[in-house]
Amino acid sequence: MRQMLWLAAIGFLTVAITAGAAGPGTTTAIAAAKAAPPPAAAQAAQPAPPSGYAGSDTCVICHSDKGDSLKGTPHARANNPRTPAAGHGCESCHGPGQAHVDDDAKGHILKLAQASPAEASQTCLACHNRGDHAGWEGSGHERRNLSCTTCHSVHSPKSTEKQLVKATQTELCATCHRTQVAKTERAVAHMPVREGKMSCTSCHNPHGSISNVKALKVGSSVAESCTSCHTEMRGPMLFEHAPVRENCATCHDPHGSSNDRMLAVRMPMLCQRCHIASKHPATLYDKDQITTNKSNRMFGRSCVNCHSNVHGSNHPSGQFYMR
Amino acid sequence: MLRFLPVLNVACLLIAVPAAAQTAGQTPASASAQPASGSTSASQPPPAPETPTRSLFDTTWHQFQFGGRFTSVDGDPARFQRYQDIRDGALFSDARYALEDPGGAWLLKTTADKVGWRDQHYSAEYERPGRFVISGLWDEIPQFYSVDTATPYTPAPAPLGLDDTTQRQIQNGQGTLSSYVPIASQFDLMERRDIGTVRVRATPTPQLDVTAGFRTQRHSGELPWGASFGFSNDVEVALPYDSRANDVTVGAEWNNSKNMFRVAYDGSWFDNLDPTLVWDSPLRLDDSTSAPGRGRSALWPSNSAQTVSAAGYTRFPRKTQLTGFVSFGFWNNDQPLQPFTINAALPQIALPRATTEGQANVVSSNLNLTSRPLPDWRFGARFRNYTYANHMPATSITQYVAYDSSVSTTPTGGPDLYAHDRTTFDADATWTRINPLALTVGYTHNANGYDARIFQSSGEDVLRVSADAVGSSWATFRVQYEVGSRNGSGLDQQALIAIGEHPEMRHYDLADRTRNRFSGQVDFVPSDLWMFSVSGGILHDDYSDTFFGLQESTARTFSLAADYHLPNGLGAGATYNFERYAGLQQSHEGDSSAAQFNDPLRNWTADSTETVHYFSIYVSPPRIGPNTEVRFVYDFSHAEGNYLQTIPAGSPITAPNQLPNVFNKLQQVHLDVRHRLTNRLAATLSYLYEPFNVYDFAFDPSVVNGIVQPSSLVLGYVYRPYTAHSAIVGLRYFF
Repeated sequence: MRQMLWLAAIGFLTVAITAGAAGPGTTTAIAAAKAAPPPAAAQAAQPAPPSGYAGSDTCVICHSDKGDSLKGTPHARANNPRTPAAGHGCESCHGPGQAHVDDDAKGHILKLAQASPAEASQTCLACHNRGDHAGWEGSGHERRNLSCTTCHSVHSPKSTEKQLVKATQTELCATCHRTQVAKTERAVAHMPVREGKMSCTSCHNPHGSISNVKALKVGSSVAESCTSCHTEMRGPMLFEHAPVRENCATCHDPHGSSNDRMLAVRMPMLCQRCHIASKHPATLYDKDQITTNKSNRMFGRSCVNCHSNVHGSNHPSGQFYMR
Repeated sequence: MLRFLPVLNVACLLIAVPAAAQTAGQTPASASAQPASGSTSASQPPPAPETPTRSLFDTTWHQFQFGGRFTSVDGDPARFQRYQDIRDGALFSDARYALEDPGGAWLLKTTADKVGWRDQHYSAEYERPGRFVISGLWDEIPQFYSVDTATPYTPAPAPLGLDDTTQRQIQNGQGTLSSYVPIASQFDLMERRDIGTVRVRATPTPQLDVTAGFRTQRHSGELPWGASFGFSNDVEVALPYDSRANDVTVGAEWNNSKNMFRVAYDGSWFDNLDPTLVWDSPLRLDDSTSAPGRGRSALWPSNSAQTVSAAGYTRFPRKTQLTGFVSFGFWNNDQPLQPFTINAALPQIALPRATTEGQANVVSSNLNLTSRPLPDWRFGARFRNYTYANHMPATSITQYVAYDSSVSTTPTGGPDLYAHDRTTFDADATWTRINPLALTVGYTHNANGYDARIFQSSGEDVLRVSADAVGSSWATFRVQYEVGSRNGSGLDQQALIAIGEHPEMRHYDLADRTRNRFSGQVDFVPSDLWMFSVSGGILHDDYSDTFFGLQESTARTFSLAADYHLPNGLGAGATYNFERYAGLQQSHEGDSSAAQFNDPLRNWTADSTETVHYFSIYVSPPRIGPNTEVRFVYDFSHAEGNYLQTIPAGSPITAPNQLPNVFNKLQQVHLDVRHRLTNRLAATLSYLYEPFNVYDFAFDPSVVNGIVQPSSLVLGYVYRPYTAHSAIVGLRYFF
């Protein structure tokens, strides 16, 4: 029932906005007006660009492909006063262009592909200086001399969203972070990245995080990031399990693993790295415990067969996470 | 039928809307295609939305696909599907629709994928550029564990019950666990997560953004869960689970060209609708002073977290910026405490209090300074502090009930109040005089304080150097090496002894450690046709002061990649990735007697290694004729784990029979063919061939060969291989 309501809402919204857009003929009138070339008087009334600026109309005489590539993109939305289209157009990013027009050698213009990473980034950060981009300075990528143009392209993006230089986010991140992306392809235990349900930016902000480590976008610690979705582990619990409280990555590999539950190491070996109290935690469980004795400390979920509340227990008898 | 209704609903909407859209005007172009030629008037026919130069694999904002999916799985269908729904049936997916006012006053985008299936996804975004954006999504994520599972327990809701007659028979010695096999029912072990979000960002002035967001998650289904009554009565049940998590975010951010200031409130509430599990014991019906007829466990408690934060930056001359962040979080869990046991035959221990009174305050602060005072120099410094303060009242619990079976004395007298704080100072300097090379030296100091851990504090110093060469059109180069040393202080060996641990045990997340890590990548682009990449990494952690516990951990990675592109449209590439992980740990098998506890001949080691090979190849041939495009991708992943257990010569421990290697091997062959029928219509075929092979001794059907195991009643969840074929045949419509 809930799904039907969502679908109906989306359909209604779509139809309503479409009807509103097409209803009284407003946009049709605008469309008709735009289809016709402006009258000469209107063209003559366009303000001259400021001194040193050539105007975007001049730029596209030579760089028509660049001008065309902006159409329909956020940079071309003049209604947003923060976009280049609402400012100096091409010259908002590339700088005043009159000198470039006048120069036979065609210098005197900012060519972002040839700029230093810092210079290229500063160009973008002049506008993209808030929200998710506010943490760029001092971020991991910035410190390694990446720039905005390492991942994004204004004029020739390959993706349908966010103007990336690769077709998908996963493909882009894998350019450098191959191991992490390869882990999301693990067959046994992985985040649902390859199923399209998550992406790198589900957890990370590649532009840097003001609040967290590892460019994690939510919370102030690794555990807070994980428990933003896995909220049941947040607690606080009556009986805490210390490594859980401090860092989920002590036991789990967040990108993927060959072990059940994305554990970095399978049980019981993982648990035996910290627990050797007398007898059973530190018992040497070998093949005989699987084939001959079928110890319930080895098969299936191993230690968690009994210690099921391993992330912490809220039970008065939960000292050992068995209740 | 239920699945067809939303499919038809959305299909009708998205067919009807374009008819209206033809009089509505300009629509945005996709990112990689030629832009729309502008608006249209009602008197002119709309331009063909598709030109022959556009690739049929490019996603546009005016499309949908309708077709059928046909899947055949030989083997484990649950593992094949895992986080997706790939059953047979009609499929409406890849629907994208965007509409934009010709004057640019507003923009609407909507998406719909896998309509009506368990993994369906919808999103919508409406924007008035420069004024506000409102967006929403609905996403369903299934998780399919197993079809091999069976249980004699009555299904949810709890309590999970067993047949009383069988319980009594076993209690009286007239039956065994095998008596449950005939009355166990097969069921699909599944859970799901549904996520809905709504976000608004308003921009009342060009410098001010006001944001609000709401996210709701429903997590429900059944999970495999250990519900044990002890070593000789281990039980695995299908845990019924139903929870809600609701998050609210409100914030405001102001900025100009030099400054930014942001405040935000985040509220999060987790509500577990099934906070208690009660389940029957398979071995007995009646409570006794040595064993219960039922068990009761507390599950994850409902909790909340409220966080207020402020952040900002300011820019100074010489390209200097100071960024700061501070947050205050208040975490709470005040759920009622359950009684110590459900076993009526045991003495009822008085609860220390009625509710948990779990409280924690979390304070986090960051300061980040970057500066480029000179053309060839960049400096950075960071200070960070994170403090988790546990404010739960001290709780005296001197006795507890183990497995609802017997009263025992707690080794610690009650819960430990874990708390910790971390302070990090980091600084680096980068020199870029030798263009395009950037040489960086950095230093980090981490200082950690702990409550109720074996160390009171630890300090870590890390030195790193890196070289990054970018900006060249034919090569980029990145390498980094870091060396770090962590040392703990205030070791409390008595804390280990009190809980029966060996005093030489060290917990590897705190233990003294020396780390060496190297990573590097080189990319060559010798021409417009070729790109080569090679990367590698080595990590070595040495816990030299650890006698028991993790002593050494290493990781080695290596990858090669090549891409080839011709102007005629041919694209091909291959990637090979190698990973090897190893960990050496030492343990001790013996009881607490003086003779055994300190006998070095009872020490043993386990050396765990995993080797992973990943290979991927893709081919995108040039267009076949004017209207047909093909893409081919092959992925191969093979991971193998090995565990070598050793004992010293003369050990009284029985020589280990080495565990078999475990492995998993996944191959995926994707073949996609698209053929343009008209300017608006394309026929599509997507075929997936996916063989998966696996062996894990803990989950192998030869080990878990039924729901009854020695001393255990389990679900029968196993790892099984499969070979799957899945094809989607459809029509993709562009409008």
